[in-house]
Amino acid sequence: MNDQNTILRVEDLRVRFRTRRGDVRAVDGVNLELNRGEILGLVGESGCGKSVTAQAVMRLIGDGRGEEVSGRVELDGEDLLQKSEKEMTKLRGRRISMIFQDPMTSLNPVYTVGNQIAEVPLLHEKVTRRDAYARAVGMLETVGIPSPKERARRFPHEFSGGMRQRSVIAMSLCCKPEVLIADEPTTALDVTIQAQILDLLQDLRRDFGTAIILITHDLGVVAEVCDRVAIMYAGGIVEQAPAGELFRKPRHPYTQGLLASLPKIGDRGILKAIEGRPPDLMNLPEGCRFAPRCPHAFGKCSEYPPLERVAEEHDAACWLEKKHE
Amino acid sequence: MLKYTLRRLVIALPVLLGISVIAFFIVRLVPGDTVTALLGAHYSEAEAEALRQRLGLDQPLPVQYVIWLGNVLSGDFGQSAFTGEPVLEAILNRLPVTIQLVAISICFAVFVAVPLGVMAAVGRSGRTDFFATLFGLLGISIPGFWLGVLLILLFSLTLGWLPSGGFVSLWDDPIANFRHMILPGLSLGMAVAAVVMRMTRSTMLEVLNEEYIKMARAKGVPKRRTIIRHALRNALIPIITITGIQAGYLLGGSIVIEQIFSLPGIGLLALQAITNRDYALVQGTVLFIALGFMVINLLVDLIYAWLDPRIKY
Repeated sequence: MNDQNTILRVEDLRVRFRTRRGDVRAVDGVNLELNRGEILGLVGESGCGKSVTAQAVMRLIGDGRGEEVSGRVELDGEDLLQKSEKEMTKLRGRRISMIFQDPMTSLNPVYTVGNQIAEVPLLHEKVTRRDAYARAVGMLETVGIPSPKERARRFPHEFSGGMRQRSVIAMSLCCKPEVLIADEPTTALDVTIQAQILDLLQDLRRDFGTAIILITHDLGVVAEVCDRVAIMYAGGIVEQAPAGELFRKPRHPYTQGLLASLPKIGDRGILKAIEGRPPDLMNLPEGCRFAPRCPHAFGKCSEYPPLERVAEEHDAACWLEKKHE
Repeated sequence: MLKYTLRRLVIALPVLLGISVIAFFIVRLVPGDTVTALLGAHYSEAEAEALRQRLGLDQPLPVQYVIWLGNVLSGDFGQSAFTGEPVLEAILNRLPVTIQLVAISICFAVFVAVPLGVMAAVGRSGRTDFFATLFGLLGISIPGFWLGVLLILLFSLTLGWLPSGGFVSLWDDPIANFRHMILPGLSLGMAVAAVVMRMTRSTMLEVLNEEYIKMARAKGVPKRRTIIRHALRNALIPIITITGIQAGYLLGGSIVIEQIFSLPGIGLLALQAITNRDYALVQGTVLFIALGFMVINLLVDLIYAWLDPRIKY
């Protein structure tokens, strides 16, 4: 393996929530690799464990009551799951950051945008208040906010949705982290603003060399910006491939179903939905989680399929691959 | 801001006018009057009539009201029918005691209840939370007067640590003053502390679930700083609101507590005035308590704008 090139490696990540009705296996054996400077799309429908994966990587969950996280999350070779909360606090925002879905609520309403951004270098670097603030203004300019000096003095409620998400991006990239996890950063925005934010992320990836995990349920977004894609279903990765390859030759029946369900211009037929619904995370099937909905399911599917290489840089977790051999 | 403050003060005038009407007529609905209270059980009708005339109580009620109001507007609140002491002077003499009592209660409430509520919310369903919930329940359920009596029993009569009542001015002897004020302050403040604690806990629970708290953690803000600077700062608005409202009620609650601890405050003055049917004094104290309530409310509203940049006046 080309370890040099991998910045974040997730191995067999499992997250369990203990509830009164039973254990919820929100993430169940996720394996991911993120290369330096690449954009990896993490795709899946609501409730498949994308956000939980992201928050477990950031260690935002795992220390609370009834939360159980196991596996390995290596940032440049160091296992984040073994770190103390204190060590994690020093890492977050400096080497790995995250932005959230709703820019309307991710900024603190009682502080100016400039001060909120300046807080990041103040926490992580030995800088004066004045220098940190100047950095914040510079970052606002970098993310394309007009008259940044004046805007930095404003409060979040005086910003539009797009400008807020730009500010949040400025905040998370202020210390040039190696990894940025963007949890549906454009879902809450207008389509035109969406495109601008995606362009911005691509520019920043180029300028800062930050590797990005882009969590989304929008395959259009993936096609536009991602280098590689990981498809998630019911707490696990079912397929992983370079974006172009995945769209051309999807191997897993779930991925095929997802792609088939996209509307095509000019096609006025009925949209093809995937039959059935995702399994209950409290009561996952023994074998392949997709088997109950899979049109190709056969006997072997009662066993759990591992994620295996099926073509160059292309992994899938499906017994069909073996069947054809 | 200044304009807003002025407007609020102007709006306060008709409210005070309304209160003056209510205060004026309601004391006169109570059976008995100043004259019967002054003369006691045995008096002749002629004596009573003469006294009524002297006090101006023989005039029709509306006329009495207008005369009184006119005097009040020119700064004359009348005299106590019993002591002859000018009402304004009596009130101003006793006001510092009540203000100090209310201030101690509020300080106790805020400095105990807010940290406790924050700890309860952070350690939700843990031991601290259990203790805080118990404190909240007891604080609300135990009446102040009963708590006052219990505290006197324990700290004054059994342990002999603190005086059971009376008052020493802050300027004469600050330590003795504090020893006299601590028990009444505690008895009066307990219910407020309970309410403020519960409000702090529930607001903090809500704020801690906000996305900007997650964002603060994601950018590497240490836990303590997240709780205080990012969460508590946002939770302060409802906490201040409830504290302000409670402070208003404390003015009323002080009547009972001042009686128990024989503190010469506004509350005790009002109580004596009511028993004596000392009309001018009752009206004066009621007006002052109402004014206090309104000033506190105004202060709370002004603090809002300072705390939350989204609020502009």
